Amino acid sequence: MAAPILATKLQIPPLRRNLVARPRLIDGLDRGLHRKLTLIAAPAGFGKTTLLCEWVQSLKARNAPAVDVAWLSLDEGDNDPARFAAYLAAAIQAGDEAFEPAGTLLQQAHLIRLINHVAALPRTLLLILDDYHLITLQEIHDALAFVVDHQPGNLHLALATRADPPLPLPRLRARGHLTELRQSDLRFTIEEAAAFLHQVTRLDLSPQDVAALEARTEGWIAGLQMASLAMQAAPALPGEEQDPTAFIRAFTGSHRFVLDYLTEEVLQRQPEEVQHFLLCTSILDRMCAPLCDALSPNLPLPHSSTLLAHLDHANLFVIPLDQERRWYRYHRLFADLLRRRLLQTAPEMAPVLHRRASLWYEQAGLTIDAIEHALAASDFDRAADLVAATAEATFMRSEVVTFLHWIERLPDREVRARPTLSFFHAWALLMSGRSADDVERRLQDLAGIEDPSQPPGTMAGRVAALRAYLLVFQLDLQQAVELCRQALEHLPESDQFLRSVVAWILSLAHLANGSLQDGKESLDDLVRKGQQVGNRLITVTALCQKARLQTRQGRLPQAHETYQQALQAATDSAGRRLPIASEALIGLGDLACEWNHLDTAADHLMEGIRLANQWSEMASFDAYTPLARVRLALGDVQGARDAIEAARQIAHRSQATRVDDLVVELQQAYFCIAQGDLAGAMSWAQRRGLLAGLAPEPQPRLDAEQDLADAHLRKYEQLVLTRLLLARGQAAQALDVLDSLLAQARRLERVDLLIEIHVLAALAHESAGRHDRALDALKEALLLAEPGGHIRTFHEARHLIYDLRLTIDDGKRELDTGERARLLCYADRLLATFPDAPPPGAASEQSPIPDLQPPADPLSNREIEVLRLLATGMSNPEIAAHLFIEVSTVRSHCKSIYAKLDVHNRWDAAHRAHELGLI
Amino acid sequence: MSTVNRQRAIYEIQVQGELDRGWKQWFDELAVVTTYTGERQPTTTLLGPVADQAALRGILCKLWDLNLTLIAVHRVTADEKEESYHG
Repeated sequence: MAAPILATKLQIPPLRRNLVARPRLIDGLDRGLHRKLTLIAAPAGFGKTTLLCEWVQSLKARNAPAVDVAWLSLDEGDNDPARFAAYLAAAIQAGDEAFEPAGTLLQQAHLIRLINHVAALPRTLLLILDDYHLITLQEIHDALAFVVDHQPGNLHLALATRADPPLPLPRLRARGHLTELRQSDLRFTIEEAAAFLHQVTRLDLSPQDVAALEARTEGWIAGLQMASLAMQAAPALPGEEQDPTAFIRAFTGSHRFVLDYLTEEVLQRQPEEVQHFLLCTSILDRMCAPLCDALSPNLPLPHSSTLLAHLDHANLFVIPLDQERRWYRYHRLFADLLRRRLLQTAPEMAPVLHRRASLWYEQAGLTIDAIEHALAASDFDRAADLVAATAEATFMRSEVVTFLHWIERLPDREVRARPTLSFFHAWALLMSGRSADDVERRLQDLAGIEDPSQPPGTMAGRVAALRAYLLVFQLDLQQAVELCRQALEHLPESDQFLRSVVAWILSLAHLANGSLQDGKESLDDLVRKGQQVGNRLITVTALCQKARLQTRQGRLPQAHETYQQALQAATDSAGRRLPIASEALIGLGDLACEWNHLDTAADHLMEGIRLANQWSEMASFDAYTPLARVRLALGDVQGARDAIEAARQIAHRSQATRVDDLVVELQQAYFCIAQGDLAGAMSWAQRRGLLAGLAPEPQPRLDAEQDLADAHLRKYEQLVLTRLLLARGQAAQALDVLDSLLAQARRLERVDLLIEIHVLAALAHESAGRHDRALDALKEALLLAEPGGHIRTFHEARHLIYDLRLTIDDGKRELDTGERARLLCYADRLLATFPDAPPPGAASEQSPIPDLQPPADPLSNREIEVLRLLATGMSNPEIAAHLFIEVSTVRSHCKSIYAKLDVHNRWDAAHRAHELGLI
Repeated sequence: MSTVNRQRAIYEIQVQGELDRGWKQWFDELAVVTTYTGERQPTTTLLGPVADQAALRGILCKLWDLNLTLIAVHRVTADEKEESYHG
């Protein structure tokens, strides 16, 4: 159902018939156009949407002032940042075709682009958000508040809502930025009520009648609408004349809840079949004629289509959802009332109706709705069957959260009675990071069971496959491979899906073991298989594995290409990214970080996290380490801390393995060192027994799992240990560790690790005073990194690059012509990225310290901000990103700063600023 | 072994207007009583146990969706702990 509803959310709803013009309100809205925000806040049934439609039509008719309109009708599903941002962009694009939605994120960077785009428009843009009260996600409120804070003069925002939104309204009010229309403004005045009633009912109502109705309904438009319907309907008793006065007297004499009373009146006066139809269809969220027919099989066909058209025409409760008027839904207020009446008058019908709806949806191929209605009918047997039938497809689309949600509403016995369901449940539990015990319990249920619907041996094979998966998580790779072998023995050839899963697990195991070639072959094989079977999960995962492999080999451009392929494979035919795309996005973010495109990296990682959370919390875990590093590089220390904390929470909640906890500690230690907290890092090193290795003491005997985790993580831990040792000035020990790592990295063909090792070695030699050896090591690193174009890894050694370049230029390094040219080029690129690396010997060439007088022309606040960031070593692009300004602006600030401080480069500027106590 | 604390507080919610007893089912079996106080508009009180804050919020939302005017929300008794044990 995606296509029609999508378009309707952006369409301005057509004007209703029998509209009472409300010029005084339209005037108020017009006058508010020059302010920032118009808020229309009133409960349901006060004609908010109608009023906005009327306003828009009036603006278009007049075409003055020159206003473009962007409309977005919100629903609960828009409480997803990516979806909201996408719809927002689409709405603006609908209003102004020139707008190219660059990203679909609620990131500030994208919001700024949006704001800037609108600001550059020649006309005013009116952005209308209808039903804003349905938005509950704080992130969206924050984004909107940001837009309002930075609102350009030609953007006007109008919100229609049932409750005041959590935006800074008092502040906006105080500053005259807000126009409000509230319940007291929107209710019908006596004149408007009279006009409405006359137009709609065509009855001759006395002024007293009108006044009585207006008083009873308190000007509530929905109430008046219902009253007019009741009065218009055929008389309740035969032989009676339509007597509005009697009706009104009875109505005003009753104290019953207005809508309750009126609904009953209206219903009672409808023909029997209409009443029956309304009550039956009340259980549906949306309806079309065939579906309605299915609910009430006793009515002659094609009855429902006639009825729906009649209801639509009579303005009775229904709202069309698409242009063709194929699908409708009930106005919210009435849906509730109708459902209540159903419960009251014929409660036993509800489950029957739900069941019929479920059957219809199943036949129509709309399985999700079929399942929902089966659950609503408490027909768990049927629901379980449906879920089991769709389990594999759901998994292939990586919609694990949806699947778990269904399972959790089924009674345990229904799940256990279906081996397929039990199996997928176990798998879903594993992917959501639930405790290994939970998964194990499910697997126990399956011990020795055969699934009658599958060829013999399937279940045994599946259980083996799942256990293998669990073992990979726990890094017990040998056992995992063994179980995979068993699984392949038992799984029938026809079970393509599971067999490809096993193949994937095998490749994971091979890679982790370091048998790269085996891993690579099985990966290519997997990609092919995955594409053949249409199994996106396997295809995407295999491609991401391949890309990781390429990254490890230092082949970054190839890895980038592969991740892009994976992203493609993870996008469905409607262009939406499936949750499984998160893995590719995280990979791309990682690469972007290494290439120093820090903004892009953050964007990719954030989107990856959001998508991953739709699938499995564990899947987002891998994003946080690179995210922390990106934020650190951008100078966002708190943000980096937040990322580590988020990872820690996930690791804590996931009880399947300890490895992730160790990874978090590793990241934490890295962070400590970067922040100068060496004590913190030292205690980590001690805990992990890393220091023991330096003194010749025997290692205490660890348990089996710890052994394996150690083996896998050790090399990364030792790299961080090296940094710690360097920070403590223990260069000699650092070099020892690096030497042993070097051998290991060579054996595993880990180019990425080799580069880092050589860079750290360069720093170690430098700190020990061996400048020449340092440059040697750096040269090795550059040679390895040149094909991939690594940048970030060289950040810490940037001060050595200049020197190295000089020696390469002078021909002092043993390189052939080709290598020399490539390295020079590469070195230049690195230098351009890190321009603040001071030229060597600059210290001795520095001009004598000038008079320590404050500059004649004082620095502006902004300039001081820029100066502070300059002093921390940030590059111009980094500063621009941090302050949300253009790079060109940063450059002009720098020019001005240098002029005012009488310096010529940022190094001196920072120095001067410190001297003058400016920062 | 597990100890389950069932905290179900009793709430009293007053709205303006008259809702008949038939609304009981819609509001999760809360008692629905209308009080007529002479001249002024009657008020309806919904009374009964509410599972937790989220459930309370749900009831209030239902009332709000129907555009009923909320007069008061009052907690009559606090937690009613029931221990149910075993494992």
